[in-house]
Amino acid sequence: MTGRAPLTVCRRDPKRVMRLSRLGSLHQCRLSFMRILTRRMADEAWEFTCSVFNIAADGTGHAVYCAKGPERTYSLVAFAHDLAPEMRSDRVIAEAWDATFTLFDGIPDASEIARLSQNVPLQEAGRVSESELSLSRANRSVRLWKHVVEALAAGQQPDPAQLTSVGYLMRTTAVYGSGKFGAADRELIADRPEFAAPFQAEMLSVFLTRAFVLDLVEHAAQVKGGDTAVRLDPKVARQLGIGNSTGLGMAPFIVNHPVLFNNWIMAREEALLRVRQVCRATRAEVAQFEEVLGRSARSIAQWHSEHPVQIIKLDALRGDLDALFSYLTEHDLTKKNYPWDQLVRWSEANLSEEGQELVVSLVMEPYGPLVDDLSADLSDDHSDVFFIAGSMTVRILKNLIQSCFGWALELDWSNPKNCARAWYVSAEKLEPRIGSRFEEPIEDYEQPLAPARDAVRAFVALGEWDQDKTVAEFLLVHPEHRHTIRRVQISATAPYSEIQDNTISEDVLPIDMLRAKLSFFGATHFDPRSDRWVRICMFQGAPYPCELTKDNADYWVYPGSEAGE
Amino acid sequence: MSYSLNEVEALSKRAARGAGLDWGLAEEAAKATRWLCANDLDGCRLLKSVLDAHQDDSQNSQPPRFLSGEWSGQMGTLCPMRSGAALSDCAAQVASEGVEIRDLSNPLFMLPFVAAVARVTKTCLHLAWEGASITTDGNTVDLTFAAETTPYVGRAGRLVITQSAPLTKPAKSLCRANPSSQDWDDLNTLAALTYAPATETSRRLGAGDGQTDND
Repeated sequence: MTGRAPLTVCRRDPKRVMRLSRLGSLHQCRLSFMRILTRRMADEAWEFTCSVFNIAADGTGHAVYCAKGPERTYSLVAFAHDLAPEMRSDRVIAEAWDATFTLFDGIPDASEIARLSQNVPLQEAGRVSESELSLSRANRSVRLWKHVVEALAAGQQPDPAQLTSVGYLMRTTAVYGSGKFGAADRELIADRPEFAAPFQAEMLSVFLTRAFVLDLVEHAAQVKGGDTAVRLDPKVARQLGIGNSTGLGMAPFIVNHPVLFNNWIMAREEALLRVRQVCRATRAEVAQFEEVLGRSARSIAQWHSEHPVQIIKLDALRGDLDALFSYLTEHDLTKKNYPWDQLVRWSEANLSEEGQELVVSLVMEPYGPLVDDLSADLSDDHSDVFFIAGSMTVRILKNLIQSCFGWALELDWSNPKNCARAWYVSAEKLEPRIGSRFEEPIEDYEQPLAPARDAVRAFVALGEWDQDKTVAEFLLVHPEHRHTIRRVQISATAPYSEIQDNTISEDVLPIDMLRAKLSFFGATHFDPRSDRWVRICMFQGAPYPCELTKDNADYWVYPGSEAGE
Repeated sequence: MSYSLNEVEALSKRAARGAGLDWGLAEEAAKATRWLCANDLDGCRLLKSVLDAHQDDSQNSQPPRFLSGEWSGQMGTLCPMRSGAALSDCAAQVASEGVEIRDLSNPLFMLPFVAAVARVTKTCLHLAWEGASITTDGNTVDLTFAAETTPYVGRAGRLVITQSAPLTKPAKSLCRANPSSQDWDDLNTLAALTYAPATETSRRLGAGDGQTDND
């Protein structure tokens, strides 16, 4: 039974949800972009082919993988390179890679392949066109690549323990989309149903990249082992995802796109609310929850990190899982009213933020028909919120600041601890960075990534104004507050648009911002390598393109999937 | 070379900031430049000209003194960015009553702001200065320029915005921009002013020290 009950709960308070420590504890869910993509492609019976595999014995060359949907075909054009070991770096600032990729809008002909071969391998130093939807690159996990090639060449399957410990054969170091380096703007493809949800072109490119990487490693083994070589067992192959290293470049995104970020969080919170409003759960629904919980526990058991912060969080999460299993043993959810609401309330009182957010993600799993339509609300393609409402009075604007940033008004911003950091773009690498305001010469270059501090500044300036004056009059004299006032007005209709934390405090952890974004991609196994960059795994457990069916398109993210282990 | 509109917007924002504009105005300048390019006008050339005026002499980039009556500066020429931003802040008033602006630099740069007002207020607006007559509903633009004038004139003595009859021609927008390499380079030079020079500390810590990225 999923009948709606009278409203007994509401969406969670942004003041709790939008804290950095909680955003840094988010997990993938049904609304994650990878799962939206695989569900759609399976529903629409997309067809996948490798139309070109022109890779030489030395492992260099190119390949083309086509994905044919109901109306259009997209092609991953992959270039494989011979990279000297000393050139291999995952940093976004690298200049050469093991493989480079672009997602082509259509099926490229020879002249287009020739054009792309001159540009895609150069990445940022090359140019792509409006026919390309993404630009990306990947490096091998040297350790695992070597092991897998040697094992397969010798006619054996690789050691499962080594596969598990790394989780991928290649990791991408950047997947650029939306107009970057000349590629097509998102606006050009946003009205295509397959790209309505965010980052679908980028996710498709990674999904196809994973297929290429499998073919490439088998090719290398074939070259090395000849007739002795065997192919990778499909069940083993499925446990390999595509790794990803993500650094500070991604952190400003969720601040710079307040409406989009609001829509992501709002969709997840609305999904949670709908599930909490379910009056009675059927045995099948409870069983499905228990199944994904059990499988999720296996995934978490395989999740390793050497970062002290994440080690503590993982320990807590494992304790949370034990507590959750005990709760389920002691409580029959089919006999309770509003069982999911009760579970969420119990988790808030008894689990860490990691555990609480895991519960939020998992309770949605039995309720696809109830929540999956929210994937249509994740984008931000038609909003005119950029426009400032100049006729608003100073009084109302001040009230808005108080309600959105009340906590920041209480903070002592003159205390160096509260403004110790500054975000800037480095001249050398043109990448976002975070530095020490009082120790480095960066303040003059500060990016507007401290909305809370800026809101306080605007609030102070507004305090000297007649409350009945308009925002238009105020901004004529104070143009320096335009960006802040725009955000504050956005917050009035987008309650989850602002991080409810200090993004320039001494102890800010940029990895929290990275994880929030990556969790919506559907990433798993977050492994912070410092407070500023993180490794993740994408599509681990997913069917390969040619294996994709409606039966395996959704729950692959949990180990021990339908296809069976 | 052809650029995506996102590239235009991203560079324009950095260039405007590099030229000394506040972040909020830089964001609006970037959106305006993008809109001009999408409507087959040379947004980068115009932005460059606006930013030059802003940097050269603050007398040439004044905000309007008041938002009622005829708009004019304290002394000197009005900045189309400050005036455009003020225009959008007074959208309802502009759409219903129109507005006259005296002594404005780079008048064509007002067009994206007028278009935004038209879009938000769901009206059709007419914009005119000597030799130029433009109608827009926010998405579609109908431009007429006298033979001897250029759309990119550096200054207009008087600019008038009034309501107009609805446009009938269909909207048509471009998805690429083709700025001159000189303008693109000049905007890049301005944008570079927003980048912090590397230091030993930033090289070491800026992106995060940490464990090796190869395994």
